Amino acid sequence: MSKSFDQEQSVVVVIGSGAGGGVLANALAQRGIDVVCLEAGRRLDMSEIVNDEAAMFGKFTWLDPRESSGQTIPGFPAWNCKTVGGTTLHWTASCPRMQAHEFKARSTYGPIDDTALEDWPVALQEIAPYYSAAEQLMGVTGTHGIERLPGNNNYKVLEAGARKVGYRQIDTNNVAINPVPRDGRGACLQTGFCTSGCVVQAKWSTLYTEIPKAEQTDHFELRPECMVTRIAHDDTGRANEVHYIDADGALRKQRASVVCVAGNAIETARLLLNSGSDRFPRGLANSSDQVGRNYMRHMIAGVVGRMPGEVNIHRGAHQAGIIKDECGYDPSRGFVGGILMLTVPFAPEIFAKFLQPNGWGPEYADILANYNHLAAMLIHGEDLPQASNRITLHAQKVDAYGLPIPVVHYEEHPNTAKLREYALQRGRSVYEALGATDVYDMVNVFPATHNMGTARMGTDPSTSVCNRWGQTHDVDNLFVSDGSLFTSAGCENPTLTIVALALRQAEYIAERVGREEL
Amino acid sequence: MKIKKAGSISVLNQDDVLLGERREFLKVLGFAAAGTTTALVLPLSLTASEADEWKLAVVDAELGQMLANVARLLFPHPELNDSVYFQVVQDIDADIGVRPELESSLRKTAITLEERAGGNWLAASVPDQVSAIESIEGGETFFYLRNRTIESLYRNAEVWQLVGYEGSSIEYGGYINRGFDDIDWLDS
Repeated sequence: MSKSFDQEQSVVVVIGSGAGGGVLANALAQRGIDVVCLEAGRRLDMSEIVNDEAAMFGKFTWLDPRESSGQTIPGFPAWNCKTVGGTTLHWTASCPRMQAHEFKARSTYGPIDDTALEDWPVALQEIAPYYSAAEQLMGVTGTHGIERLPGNNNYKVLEAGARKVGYRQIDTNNVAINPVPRDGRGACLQTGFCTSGCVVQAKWSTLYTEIPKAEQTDHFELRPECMVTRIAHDDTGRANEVHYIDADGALRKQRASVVCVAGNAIETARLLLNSGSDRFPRGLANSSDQVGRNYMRHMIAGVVGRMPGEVNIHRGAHQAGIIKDECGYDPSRGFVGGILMLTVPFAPEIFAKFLQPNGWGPEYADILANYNHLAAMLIHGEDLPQASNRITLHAQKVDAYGLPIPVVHYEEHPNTAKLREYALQRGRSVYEALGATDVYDMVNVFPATHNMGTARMGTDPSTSVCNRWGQTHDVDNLFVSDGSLFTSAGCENPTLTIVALALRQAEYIAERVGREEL
Repeated sequence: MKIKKAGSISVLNQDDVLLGERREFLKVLGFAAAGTTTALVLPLSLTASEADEWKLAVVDAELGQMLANVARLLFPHPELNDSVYFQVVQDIDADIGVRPELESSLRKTAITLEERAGGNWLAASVPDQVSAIESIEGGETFFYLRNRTIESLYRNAEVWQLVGYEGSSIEYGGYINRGFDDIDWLDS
């Protein structure tokens, strides 16, 4: 059913098949534009997706070597995926929209020392139609007449506690999870394994939506297990070839009319940095020296309450529960940036490892013995762009493909520390209001899953990598199509915005291809 | 072991936490292969012939008894019989098969623990055993033992049943009709 393209045929090459790449590739193929999608990971068969966290971790996680420094998990700074569908296998499907003021972070927050804060080159108003299209595409609950999911036990605890402390904006979130069958996919059975791949496909993932839809056109070829090593350019500086190592370990070269990079923020920056040439000595599209900089990942922390009754946290959709009362701009709290509090479950093993990173002994085992009494939330807060938080290439170490490995450096800005302390205190109060016998924090134990900012959009080519369309300032036919584009982080899960930007970018590329400008 | 509550617990700023090894961290996150789950009921007084029957490749009866005992001290659940903790030892034995250098560090740690507990591990009092374990906290072998014990214990169906985790749910149709929203104490 799927088309196959000759390597000498010049096509649009999309690198990555996740939220950004998968959506962009399908949107272009549906418009009759020939696309080859190169995906580093393997294509999982649905029979390989099982309700087993440890097994799925091994099947889809990006485990190629990385180094990291600063406040990161050493050697494992981020948890993204290497598989067809990318991190849409692992995501929780939480789809809040970014808020109007978050697109104007610099104007709203004012100057803040040691940040590279800028306004986005686009406003919410311009993105809103694409948010709507993205919600329609993914089937987001609470939009387009799609009912919300029912709340599970962990949500009911969150909601009851939140009301007691005076919060009002509480619901089961906007999630790209089918409450009823839709778009050829099943309804949520509340299996409780969102982040391990959804067995019933109720959760949107490009693995079983955009990719097969693209394959039904005559304009798309997916090449899994193909790791891109370099984007090459011609004498005029236009990208013209993508080099990759295929499943058999052979180096291949695909001719390209347009190249779109959607490898998740760390790999996207790494690929551009690894594609330097005499013309682009600091890396492709990096005349600004901004590629890899301004890496953002959100402040992420867990709060766990030991509740007076059973919760059975493992039952049901993971992030179908949210408190939004703290998401706005309120400098009276002592910091800028918003906060979201969302339900999250963990298996006993994860609590055992991280509730206290060194915990053991009778008291600790007693908490775990009361696993069924634990309720938990994950707090997301906006972090600010800092030029020194960045992805670089290791000077010596290479991976199995022979590519210099990425080094991720991240230091928390003082604003983030203030935000976190406030958020933890508010989060704790939710469970304390319901008589929690103990409340625990989980801080700095999770690798990043929201990776943003490493090829950011902006109007000034000297302080940004891409323009308002995600087109690089330096190379006319080179685009970035993932969270790397984010000028600032907002406090929302980034995927909905990534998908909206990809849909908008597809329109722009298609128009320019139609006018033979690309 | 003191339980810290609701304070900021940062693994990243503690020099004594040996998280630097990527391999170890991937294990923490669950990449390590699950151990065997053969159900065994063994007395704590494991004899050499029983150890042989148990098919341990490297770990001998004496070390096996000690490691099972350490596993119970790390994560004591009185309801669990010894066989569950012996499965931790089986997994350690399998790990040594993949990482032979682990054996010598475990044997060295065993000697250290025994000395610090007064000379005879199994004869030592629980407080002496606990303080001996406390003395190796932060070290690489402690990190390994804690992590290995967690991954063996808290992936064990018997332990899941004890703590109330129900594991794979798809074969039962998820929880949509099996209590995902059955909480009954909130309005009281």
